Amino acid sequence: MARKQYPPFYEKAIPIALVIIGLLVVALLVIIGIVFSSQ
Amino acid sequence: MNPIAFIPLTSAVISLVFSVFVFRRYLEKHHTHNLLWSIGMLFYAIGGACEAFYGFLGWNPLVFRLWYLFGALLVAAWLGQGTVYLLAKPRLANILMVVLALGSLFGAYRVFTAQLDPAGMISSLHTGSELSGGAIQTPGVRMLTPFFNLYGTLALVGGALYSAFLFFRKRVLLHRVVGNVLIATGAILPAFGGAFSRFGIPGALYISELLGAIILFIGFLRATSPMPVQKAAAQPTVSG
Repeated sequence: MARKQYPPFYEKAIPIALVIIGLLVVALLVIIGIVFSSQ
Repeated sequence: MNPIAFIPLTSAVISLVFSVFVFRRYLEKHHTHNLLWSIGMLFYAIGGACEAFYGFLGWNPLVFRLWYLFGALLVAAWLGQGTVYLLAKPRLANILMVVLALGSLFGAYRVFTAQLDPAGMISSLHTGSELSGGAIQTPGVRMLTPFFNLYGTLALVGGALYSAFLFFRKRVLLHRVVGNVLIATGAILPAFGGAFSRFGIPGALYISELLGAIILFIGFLRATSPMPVQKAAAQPTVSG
């Protein structure tokens, strides 16, 4: 059974991008928490 | 005149073009999320225009209030509400819309009745060359901002990431995946800029807003225009 695939560049780049943005969201929440708690 | 004002002026022009573009799409298809994104990008443009006004012409209390209401308080939440309409069930989206509308009215009341002092924008961290919520003297007004921005950023970024993941998992609609990754990136940039601005990094807010507007626009264009995907070689998978 064949599995659909994107072109190789996107197959590699998209998961990396999703993980990085997810980590940035977590980092942002931490920064907001720090700013909030320091007020 | 502060030459840094050209940065938010550019953001305002790009956001306004984006807003008109999305509004025209709303007129064609009558999808609520397009209307809300159009309103959100109009708020983005108002925020940028107010920042540019301050840089070119200096302090003005009305311009500051408009900047704080539309540029600092409401923009992310209204953009995020568009994504909520795109992904959530209509009933839930409508309930959240009512809450957001009431919250926005309350926010407008608080911002327009707040006491201001432009000297509050100058601190050990800030030179006062950029607009800052520090000018608001009335307690409690600035406390509203994280709630709106958290809701908006999580809805917009989270929604874009979720959509990208769904399409990626099924390996369909590559343009939507790429567009949503760009939208998530563009949406998170101003949030970081705002946070860095609080730590006194000069230009962080305006530059991040400009990059955010550009990347959001490119992401929207990408997500709405199919990519000419080459026929990828199918790979066999092991099953059973």
